Amino acid sequence: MPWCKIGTKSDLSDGEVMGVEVEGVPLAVYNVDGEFFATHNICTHAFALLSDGYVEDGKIECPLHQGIFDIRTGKAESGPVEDDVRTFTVRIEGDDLLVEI
Amino acid sequence: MGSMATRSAVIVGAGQAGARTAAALRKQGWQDRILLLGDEPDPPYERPPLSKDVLAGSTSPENGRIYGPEWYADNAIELRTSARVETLEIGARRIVSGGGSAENFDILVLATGCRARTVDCPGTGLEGVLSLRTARDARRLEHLLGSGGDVVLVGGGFIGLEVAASAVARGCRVTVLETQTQLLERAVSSHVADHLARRHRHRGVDIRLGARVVAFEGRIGRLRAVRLADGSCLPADVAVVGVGGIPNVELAQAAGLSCDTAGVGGILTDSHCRVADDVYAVGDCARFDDAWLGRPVRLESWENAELAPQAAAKAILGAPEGYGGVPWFWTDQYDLNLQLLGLKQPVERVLVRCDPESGSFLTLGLSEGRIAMAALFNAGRERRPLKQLIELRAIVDPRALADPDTPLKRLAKEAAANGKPD
Repeated sequence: MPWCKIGTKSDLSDGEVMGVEVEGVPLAVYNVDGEFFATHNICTHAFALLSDGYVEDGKIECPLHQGIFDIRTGKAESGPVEDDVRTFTVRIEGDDLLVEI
Repeated sequence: MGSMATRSAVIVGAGQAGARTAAALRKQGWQDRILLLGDEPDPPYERPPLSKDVLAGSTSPENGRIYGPEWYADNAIELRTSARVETLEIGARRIVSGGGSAENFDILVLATGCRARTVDCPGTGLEGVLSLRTARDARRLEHLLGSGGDVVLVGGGFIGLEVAASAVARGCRVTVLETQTQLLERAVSSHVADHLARRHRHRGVDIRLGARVVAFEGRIGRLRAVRLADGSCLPADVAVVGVGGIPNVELAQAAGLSCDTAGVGGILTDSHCRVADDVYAVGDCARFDDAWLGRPVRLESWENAELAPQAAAKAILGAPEGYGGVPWFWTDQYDLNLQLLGLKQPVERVLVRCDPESGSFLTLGLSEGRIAMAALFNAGRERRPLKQLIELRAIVDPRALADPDTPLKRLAKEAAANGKPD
């Protein structure tokens, strides 16, 4: 399982999310209070990119149907979502953000 | 009756609202019987994909199923499909299905939905003329679009425009006919409608406003052309009639439950989705007293089918909360995701936030310093703060609203901190 660089810390300010693709896997990368997390970028309910969604209090709300996931655990919390979204571990090396795919 | 008697919650209508009611009841602690009856052959599914991904051929209606078969077993939900309810006997607390079988209920939830309105003119029975409401309709239409050809959409509403976009993607020649002077007349401002019209025309769709169909013409039972009131005639292999929905209130009406017969129709409920003692109505079929709007409204939307069941379940389980909020709708056409907040209403001014040329922007209708309605073009991220601002009825500085460098999130936070101004 290789670690891949997905960007740098300065790419993402607090409370923001961005979409990246690594090894063909679409990821949403988050900055929550200075900590970095990553989930699969596609909502488990319907085709929508979580990176287009809204971040608040450690949760991501899907832009399409208001499904809400916990960013740290991927747990489906409310709205129409039943299935959790997959999470990926983020490692920081210097200024670089890496995920294990 | 002894306390051990099992109670029955019977839900009539197995669309999204019906299925979500079953789920909400179970989740919120209803321990007894739940019977979910639907007259369609398909188990509950979501309708939004029918006019989009299903017609594009990229998914099937089965993928839109709300729950898999095991979910019904795991949650002890008795689902009966192709089961048509004929009569509601409210006093006797029972329903009678086709074939005469009866079921007693302690709680009755009506989620009977809408059916497609038709147009009153000759030729509607021709093959190739259809409505789009059910999974069955979508499968049929998907098959028809597969052969390309000339497609005419009767009605420039959500269904018409979504089907137009899907038909273009399938390589069809597409015409949209709308009797009004703008598209989506009941739902959006002329500004938003003009933007949509431009997008469609750019893709080669022939949009005709103020155009009324007088006949569908065919040969050997098959549609060949659509004739308009101005005498012109359009070649057509397929015509989709999308001129709105009619709420299915007949069962309720025959049972003596109160229904709106003058306006938009619907089974009348209070703000807890209650129609009468032990009787509730949710989803497209209900005209409910919206606790936020402060007036009755009937909403044909995914969101209402999702949230009204939660409110009904709360009331059924003895913890009623007023139901209502800022109405939210969305539509997908080509590469555009358009989300709408608030019902159409007259506004004093319209602000545009961000450059429409960028593809991602908002139009905001303001009344008395407050946002009354908002249209989000590829900008779903802004829905939450906007909804908050509208919900709080916050008075917002229009310059800040129009300034893309002022985050809406910040404005919403400030408004929430200031409390509800009045």
